[in-house]
Amino acid sequence: MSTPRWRGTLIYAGSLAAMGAAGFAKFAVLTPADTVAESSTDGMAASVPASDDMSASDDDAAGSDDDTAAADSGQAGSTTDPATSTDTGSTTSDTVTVVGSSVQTRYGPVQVSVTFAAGQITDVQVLQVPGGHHESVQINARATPILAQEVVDAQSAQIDTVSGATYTSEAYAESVQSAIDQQG
Amino acid sequence: MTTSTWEAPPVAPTAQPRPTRTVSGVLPTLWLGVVAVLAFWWAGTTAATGTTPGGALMSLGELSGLLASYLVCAQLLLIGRVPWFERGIGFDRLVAWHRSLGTSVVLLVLTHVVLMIVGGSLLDGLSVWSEVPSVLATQPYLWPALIGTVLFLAVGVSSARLARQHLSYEVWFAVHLSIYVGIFLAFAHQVAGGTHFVGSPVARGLWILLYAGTAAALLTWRVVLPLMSHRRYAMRVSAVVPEADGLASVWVHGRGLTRLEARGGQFFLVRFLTPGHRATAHPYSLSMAPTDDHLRFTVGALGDHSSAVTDLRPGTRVQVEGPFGHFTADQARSDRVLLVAGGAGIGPVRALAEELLDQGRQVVVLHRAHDAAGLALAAEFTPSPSLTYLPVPGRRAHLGHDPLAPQHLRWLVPDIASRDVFVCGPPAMADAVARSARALGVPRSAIHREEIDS
Repeated sequence: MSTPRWRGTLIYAGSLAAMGAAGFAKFAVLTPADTVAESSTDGMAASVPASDDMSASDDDAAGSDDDTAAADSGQAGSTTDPATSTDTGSTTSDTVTVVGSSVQTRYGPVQVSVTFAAGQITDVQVLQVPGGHHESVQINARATPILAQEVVDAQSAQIDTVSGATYTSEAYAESVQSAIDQQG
Repeated sequence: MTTSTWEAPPVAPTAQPRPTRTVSGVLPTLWLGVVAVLAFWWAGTTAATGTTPGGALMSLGELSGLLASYLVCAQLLLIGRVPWFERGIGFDRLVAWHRSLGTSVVLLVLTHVVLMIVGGSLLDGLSVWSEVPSVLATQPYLWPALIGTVLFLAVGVSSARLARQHLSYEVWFAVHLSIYVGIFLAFAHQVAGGTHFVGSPVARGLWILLYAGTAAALLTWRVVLPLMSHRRYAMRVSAVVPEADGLASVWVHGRGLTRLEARGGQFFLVRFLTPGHRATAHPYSLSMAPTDDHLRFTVGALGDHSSAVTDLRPGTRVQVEGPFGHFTADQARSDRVLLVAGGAGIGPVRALAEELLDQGRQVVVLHRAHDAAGLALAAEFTPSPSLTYLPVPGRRAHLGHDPLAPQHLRWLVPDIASRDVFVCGPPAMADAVARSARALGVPRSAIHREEIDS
């Protein structure tokens, strides 16, 4: 009943080699430009000029999240005002859509627009979610409708995170909050 | 064997199918599963994940975790007493593979943890040290997984060769049992937090099915069926008989024991249901062909548990799993057989000799012991035209030579090359006999060995 020595370690070494090979085959062939992420932000370029800056900082391996998020919220506040200026500050009976700030997560930026009608939140639309990861797309496709409903139900950004989409949930809430703050 | 001191031996079931251990699909299936896990990871990962070093490291960390998690299930199934595995591979090799994979699993778990932390810290722009509390705070079920990882490490370390030499079987076994808690604690973070599972209900379902299936197999073959056979056979210790220095026979009484279909040379995992023994099961070989109402195990004073069998009182209830092992008479190709026994190895050799003689084969038994007082069961080998009993007592240092070296073995058994050689004893002795037999022209396929750990 003796176990061959080092067989377990050899199996581990083999596993590492297989992992390395799989990782190399998967990742080494990619182009430097993250085409998926680019295309998802391209659609936003017209309404949110700041997105170019954001995707640039995104490519910098998210070196400083806090700085980026702070800068973005400043930019978003200023750049989106023109787009919504006709609506902001109008009477409460009107339907108003406010664009929230873009919030960086480890997987990419999250940005929402919040629609107010008679002072109530009636809808939340996603403008940006991380699209670079295959799994992120799936997660966010599942999570964002839930998050939107939570915001509408709560009438605030105080929402529960969706399990498995913690980062997106937190960034989502932050973006919603910034829209509510702008709405006053 | 012409005389016997026990009830009439059962008719040797010579028509039993030969065990086929060469064409087993078990291990190929296991490796196929590894490939499937790799493919699963491949399908769920986009090249874009690797744009940053952190993303690439985390993705590989996930792969490492997936492989470890899959191999944990494989490990559990290997020692799950699943009949298909037992027939295909044999209990001893299953245990060996379980041990090897254990090393791999612990190392893969560590790799998973390191890659996830380093990769995550690169993605988040945090230091490695601040990344740990960050993910523990945000990722679902990561705290339980951390405790589970600690248990994995404890089991891995306690099972390392060096540690096993210093740990009693009971302590090791208790630590080993905690792995079920570890596996349970580590499971939730996989399906709730693993990027390959949260987005895909199908993948999550399959993974849960893998674990549920493993749990069902363990429950069936390690809990329910043993309990049922325990009720059916109603085994109890009937006597404990000292046989020689450090060796004693445990007689076990039961009902309808021939239904176990145990053969001479096979072993059971035996558990005595009395304080001090209840927690542990030990591999004990039969030392005679089983009758319908009696089994006999001849047990060496190996380790702290075996030596205590002399304290067993008649009437103690006994739970067995088995039989296991391919060290059986139907492995012999030739009508002439040499059996070499050392120490407690005399038990299975005694049972094997009985069956081989019943099959009409010509048997030589070579019995090694440190001294004449250690030659247990010697009186049961009654010389006859078909049985030659050669006791060879004495330590090598006193004899001045190794009686199992090729030249001495040839002198003891001149026609060894034409015999099947069965050797049962401590690993070093089994190695020595196998080497000598090969040197004397015995084909590898005619050498059959069973090791008794000491």
